Amino acid sequence: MHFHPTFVPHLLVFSFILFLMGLYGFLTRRSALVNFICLEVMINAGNLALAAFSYQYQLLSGVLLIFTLIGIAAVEAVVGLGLIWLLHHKTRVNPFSPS
Amino acid sequence: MDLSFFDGSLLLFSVLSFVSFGFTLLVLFHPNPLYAAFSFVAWLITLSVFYLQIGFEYLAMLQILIYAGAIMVLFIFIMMLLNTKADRDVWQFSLKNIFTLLPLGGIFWMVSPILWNFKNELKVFPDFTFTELQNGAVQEKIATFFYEKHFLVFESLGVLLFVGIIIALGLTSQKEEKN
Repeated sequence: MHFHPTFVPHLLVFSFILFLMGLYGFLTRRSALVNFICLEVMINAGNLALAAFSYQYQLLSGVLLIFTLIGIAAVEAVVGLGLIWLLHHKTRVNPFSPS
Repeated sequence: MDLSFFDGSLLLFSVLSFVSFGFTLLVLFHPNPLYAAFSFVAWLITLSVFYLQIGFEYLAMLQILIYAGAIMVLFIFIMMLLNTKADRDVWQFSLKNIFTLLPLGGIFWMVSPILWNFKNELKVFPDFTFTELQNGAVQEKIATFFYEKHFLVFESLGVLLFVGIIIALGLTSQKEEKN
Protein backbone atom coordinates (compact mmCIF):
# COMPACT_ATOMS: atom_id res chain seq x y z
CA MET A 1 0.00 0.00 0.00
CA HIS A 2 1.59 3.24 -1.15
CA PHE A 3 0.61 6.79 -0.30
CA HIS A 4 -1.63 8.51 -2.81
CA PRO A 5 0.03 11.46 -4.68
CA THR A 6 -2.41 13.77 -2.90
CA PHE A 7 -0.37 13.18 0.27
CA VAL A 8 2.51 15.31 -0.94
CA PRO A 9 1.29 18.56 0.74
CA HIS A 10 0.75 16.58 3.96
CA LEU A 11 4.32 15.32 3.74
CA LEU A 12 5.67 18.81 3.12
CA VAL A 13 3.84 20.31 6.10
CA PHE A 14 4.91 17.34 8.23
CA SER A 15 8.55 17.81 7.26
CA PHE A 16 8.34 21.55 7.92
CA ILE A 17 6.98 20.94 11.44
CA LEU A 18 9.77 18.43 12.04
CA PHE A 19 12.31 21.00 10.85
CA LEU A 20 10.91 23.59 13.25
CA MET A 21 11.02 21.08 16.12
CA GLY A 22 14.67 20.36 15.34
CA LEU A 23 15.43 24.07 15.24
CA TYR A 24 13.67 24.60 18.56
CA GLY A 25 15.74 21.81 20.13
CA PHE A 26 18.93 23.24 18.66
CA LEU A 27 18.17 26.63 20.17
CA THR A 28 17.07 25.45 23.59
CA ARG A 29 19.19 22.43 24.54
CA ARG A 30 22.63 23.07 25.99
CA SER A 31 24.10 19.60 25.63
CA ALA A 32 26.41 19.41 22.60
CA LEU A 33 25.26 15.93 21.66
CA VAL A 34 21.54 16.74 21.68
CA ASN A 35 22.35 19.81 19.57
CA PHE A 36 24.01 17.44 17.13
CA ILE A 37 20.97 15.16 17.10
CA CYS A 38 18.67 18.16 16.54
CA LEU A 39 20.81 19.08 13.51
CA GLU A 40 20.28 15.55 12.23
CA VAL A 41 16.51 15.96 12.77
CA MET A 42 16.61 19.11 10.60
CA ILE A 43 18.63 17.36 7.87
CA ASN A 44 16.19 14.45 7.84
CA ALA A 45 13.18 16.78 7.68
CA GLY A 46 14.76 18.38 4.61
CA ASN A 47 15.37 14.91 3.17
CA LEU A 48 11.71 14.03 3.60
CA ALA A 49 10.65 17.23 1.78
CA LEU A 50 13.08 16.38 -1.04
CA ALA A 51 11.62 12.87 -1.28
CA ALA A 52 8.10 14.31 -1.41
CA PHE A 53 9.05 16.69 -4.23
CA SER A 54 10.84 13.88 -6.05
CA TYR A 55 7.69 11.77 -5.76
CA GLN A 56 5.48 14.57 -7.01
CA TYR A 57 7.56 15.54 -10.03
CA GLN A 58 8.57 11.90 -10.68
CA LEU A 59 12.24 12.86 -10.77
CA LEU A 60 15.19 10.93 -9.38
CA SER A 61 17.35 14.02 -8.76
CA GLY A 62 15.79 14.41 -5.30
CA VAL A 63 16.74 10.85 -4.38
CA LEU A 64 20.31 11.50 -5.52
CA LEU A 65 20.42 14.66 -3.38
CA ILE A 66 19.13 12.74 -0.36
CA PHE A 67 21.84 10.14 -0.81
CA THR A 68 24.48 12.88 -1.03
CA LEU A 69 23.08 14.52 2.12
CA ILE A 70 23.19 11.23 4.02
CA GLY A 71 26.88 10.89 3.06
CA ILE A 72 27.61 14.46 4.11
CA ALA A 73 25.79 13.89 7.42
CA ALA A 74 27.96 10.83 8.03
CA VAL A 75 31.15 12.85 7.44
CA GLU A 76 29.81 15.65 9.66
CA ALA A 77 29.10 13.19 12.47
CA VAL A 78 32.58 11.64 12.23
CA VAL A 79 34.40 14.99 12.23
CA GLY A 80 32.10 16.56 14.89
CA LEU A 81 32.44 13.63 17.26
CA GLY A 82 36.21 13.64 16.68
CA LEU A 83 36.29 17.32 17.67
CA ILE A 84 34.22 16.62 20.79
CA TRP A 85 36.53 13.75 21.71
CA LEU A 86 39.55 16.04 21.26
CA LEU A 87 37.92 18.69 23.43
CA HIS A 88 37.30 16.09 26.13
CA HIS A 89 40.86 14.84 25.84
CA LYS A 90 42.43 18.31 26.13
CA THR A 91 40.23 19.91 28.77
CA ARG A 92 38.82 16.88 30.65
CA VAL A 93 35.41 18.57 30.42
CA ASN A 94 32.49 16.46 29.28
CA PRO A 95 30.98 18.49 26.42
CA PHE A 96 27.87 16.31 26.33
CA SER A 97 26.77 17.38 29.77
CA PRO A 98 26.14 21.09 30.41
CA SER A 99 28.36 22.70 33.04
CA MET B 1 -14.71 15.28 -5.07
CA ASP B 2 -11.83 12.85 -5.18
CA LEU B 3 -12.04 10.51 -2.23
CA SER B 4 -9.85 7.78 -3.67
CA PHE B 5 -7.12 8.27 -1.08
CA PHE B 6 -9.36 7.09 1.79
CA ASP B 7 -8.08 3.54 1.44
CA GLY B 8 -6.37 3.18 4.80
CA SER B 9 -3.29 5.11 3.76
CA LEU B 10 -4.67 8.25 5.44
CA LEU B 11 -4.98 6.30 8.69
CA LEU B 12 -1.46 4.95 8.23
CA PHE B 13 -0.13 8.43 7.54
CA SER B 14 -1.83 9.82 10.67
CA VAL B 15 -0.57 7.04 12.92
CA LEU B 16 2.97 7.33 11.53
CA SER B 17 2.94 11.10 11.94
CA PHE B 18 1.83 10.87 15.58
CA VAL B 19 4.43 8.22 16.38
CA SER B 20 7.07 10.31 14.63
CA PHE B 21 6.10 13.48 16.51
CA GLY B 22 6.17 11.51 19.76
CA PHE B 23 9.73 10.31 19.15
CA THR B 24 10.83 13.81 18.09
CA LEU B 25 9.41 15.25 21.33
CA LEU B 26 11.34 12.59 23.25
CA VAL B 27 14.52 13.63 21.41
CA LEU B 28 13.91 17.28 22.26
CA PHE B 29 12.79 16.98 25.87
CA HIS B 30 14.27 13.84 27.39
CA PRO B 31 16.79 14.90 30.06
CA ASN B 32 19.11 11.94 29.41
CA PRO B 33 20.98 12.30 26.07
CA LEU B 34 21.35 8.52 25.78
CA TYR B 35 17.57 8.01 25.76
CA ALA B 36 17.25 10.93 23.36
CA ALA B 37 19.65 9.15 21.01
CA PHE B 38 17.67 5.90 21.24
CA SER B 39 14.46 7.85 20.51
CA PHE B 40 16.22 9.35 17.50
CA VAL B 41 16.99 5.83 16.22
CA ALA B 42 13.29 4.92 16.57
CA TRP B 43 12.35 8.17 14.82
CA LEU B 44 14.67 7.30 11.92
CA ILE B 45 12.94 3.94 11.56
CA THR B 46 9.50 5.64 11.35
CA LEU B 47 10.94 8.02 8.75
CA SER B 48 12.14 5.07 6.70
CA VAL B 49 8.55 3.74 6.76
CA PHE B 50 7.53 7.06 5.15
CA TYR B 51 10.11 6.46 2.40
CA LEU B 52 8.74 2.94 1.97
CA GLN B 53 5.22 4.29 1.64
CA ILE B 54 6.11 6.67 -1.17
CA GLY B 55 7.88 3.88 -3.02
CA PHE B 56 11.55 4.63 -2.37
CA GLU B 57 12.56 1.31 -0.80
CA TYR B 58 16.22 1.98 -1.59
CA LEU B 59 16.19 5.16 0.48
CA ALA B 60 14.42 3.42 3.37
CA MET B 61 17.11 0.76 3.41
CA LEU B 62 19.89 3.36 3.31
CA GLN B 63 18.22 5.31 6.11
CA ILE B 64 18.25 2.30 8.41
CA LEU B 65 21.69 1.04 7.39
CA ILE B 66 23.60 4.33 7.42
CA TYR B 67 21.74 6.54 9.87
CA ALA B 68 20.31 4.15 12.44
CA GLY B 69 23.02 1.55 11.95
CA ALA B 70 26.24 3.51 11.55
CA ILE B 71 25.95 7.17 12.56
CA MET B 72 23.80 6.66 15.65
CA VAL B 73 25.89 3.72 16.85
CA LEU B 74 28.91 6.04 16.67
CA PHE B 75 26.99 8.67 18.69
CA ILE B 76 25.93 6.15 21.33
CA PHE B 77 29.43 4.67 21.52
CA ILE B 78 30.97 8.11 22.17
CA MET B 79 28.25 8.94 24.72
CA MET B 80 28.89 5.75 26.64
CA LEU B 81 32.65 6.31 26.43
CA LEU B 82 32.34 9.81 27.92
CA ASN B 83 29.76 8.76 30.53
CA THR B 84 27.05 11.35 29.86
CA LYS B 85 24.90 12.83 32.58
CA ALA B 86 21.32 14.04 32.50
CA ASP B 87 20.62 17.59 31.34
CA ARG B 88 18.65 19.15 34.21
CA ASP B 89 17.74 22.40 32.49
CA VAL B 90 15.87 20.76 29.67
CA TRP B 91 12.35 21.55 30.88
CA GLN B 92 12.95 25.28 31.14
CA PHE B 93 10.52 26.65 28.62
CA SER B 94 11.30 29.97 27.00
CA LEU B 95 8.79 32.00 24.99
CA LYS B 96 11.69 33.86 23.36
CA ASN B 97 12.65 30.76 21.40
CA ILE B 98 9.08 30.21 20.20
CA PHE B 99 9.02 33.80 18.93
CA THR B 100 12.24 33.11 17.03
CA LEU B 101 10.45 30.38 15.11
CA LEU B 102 7.40 32.47 14.21
CA PRO B 103 9.06 34.52 11.40
CA LEU B 104 10.27 31.27 9.82
CA GLY B 105 6.72 29.89 9.86
CA GLY B 106 5.47 33.13 8.30
CA ILE B 107 8.04 32.92 5.49
CA PHE B 108 7.00 29.33 4.80
CA TRP B 109 3.32 30.35 4.77
CA MET B 110 4.05 33.04 2.18
CA VAL B 111 6.41 31.01 -0.01
CA SER B 112 4.53 27.69 -0.07
CA PRO B 113 1.74 28.75 -2.54
CA ILE B 114 4.44 30.03 -4.91
CA LEU B 115 6.30 26.73 -4.65
CA TRP B 116 3.08 24.79 -5.04
CA ASN B 117 2.01 26.69 -8.17
CA PHE B 118 5.50 26.34 -9.57
CA LYS B 119 4.70 22.84 -10.81
CA ASN B 120 2.17 24.22 -13.30
CA GLU B 121 4.81 26.41 -14.91
CA LEU B 122 7.67 23.94 -14.80
CA LYS B 123 8.16 21.61 -17.74
CA VAL B 124 9.28 18.39 -16.14
CA PHE B 125 10.41 15.31 -18.01
CA PRO B 126 9.67 12.49 -15.56
CA ASP B 127 12.27 9.81 -14.85
CA PHE B 128 9.66 7.25 -13.75
CA THR B 129 5.92 6.67 -13.68
CA PHE B 130 3.68 5.95 -10.71
CA THR B 131 3.03 2.46 -12.07
CA GLU B 132 6.77 1.74 -11.97
CA LEU B 133 6.84 3.06 -8.44
CA GLN B 134 3.99 0.75 -7.44
CA ASN B 135 5.50 -2.43 -8.86
CA GLY B 136 9.08 -1.73 -7.72
CA ALA B 137 10.57 -1.25 -11.20
CA VAL B 138 11.87 2.16 -10.14
CA GLN B 139 14.72 0.57 -8.16
CA GLU B 140 16.42 -0.48 -11.38
CA LYS B 141 16.03 3.04 -12.72
CA ILE B 142 17.56 4.45 -9.52
CA ALA B 143 20.55 2.13 -9.97
CA THR B 144 21.03 3.24 -13.59
CA PHE B 145 20.56 6.89 -12.64
CA PHE B 146 23.07 6.72 -9.80
CA TYR B 147 25.76 4.39 -11.04
CA GLU B 148 25.85 5.37 -14.71
CA LYS B 149 24.51 8.87 -15.18
CA HIS B 150 25.82 10.47 -11.98
CA PHE B 151 28.83 8.33 -11.22
CA LEU B 152 31.00 11.35 -10.34
CA VAL B 153 28.72 12.24 -7.41
CA PHE B 154 29.49 8.86 -5.89
CA GLU B 155 33.17 9.24 -6.54
CA SER B 156 33.23 12.64 -4.81
CA LEU B 157 31.22 11.24 -1.88
CA GLY B 158 33.80 8.49 -1.48
CA VAL B 159 36.62 11.05 -1.48
CA LEU B 160 34.69 13.14 1.08
CA LEU B 161 34.25 10.14 3.38
CA PHE B 162 37.94 9.29 3.03
CA VAL B 163 38.94 12.87 3.93
CA GLY B 164 36.53 12.73 6.90
CA ILE B 165 38.19 9.55 8.17
CA ILE B 166 41.67 11.12 7.84
CA ILE B 167 40.52 14.26 9.74
CA ALA B 168 38.95 12.16 12.50
CA LEU B 169 42.11 10.07 12.81
CA GLY B 170 44.22 13.23 12.96
CA LEU B 171 41.99 14.69 15.65
CA THR B 172 41.80 11.63 17.86
CA SER B 173 45.38 10.38 17.64
CA GLN B 174 47.04 13.48 19.09
CA LYS B 175 49.35 12.84 22.00
CA GLU B 176 48.53 14.15 25.44
CA GLU B 177 50.49 17.25 26.46
CA LYS B 178 52.71 16.93 29.55
CA ASN B 179 52.11 19.65 32.11
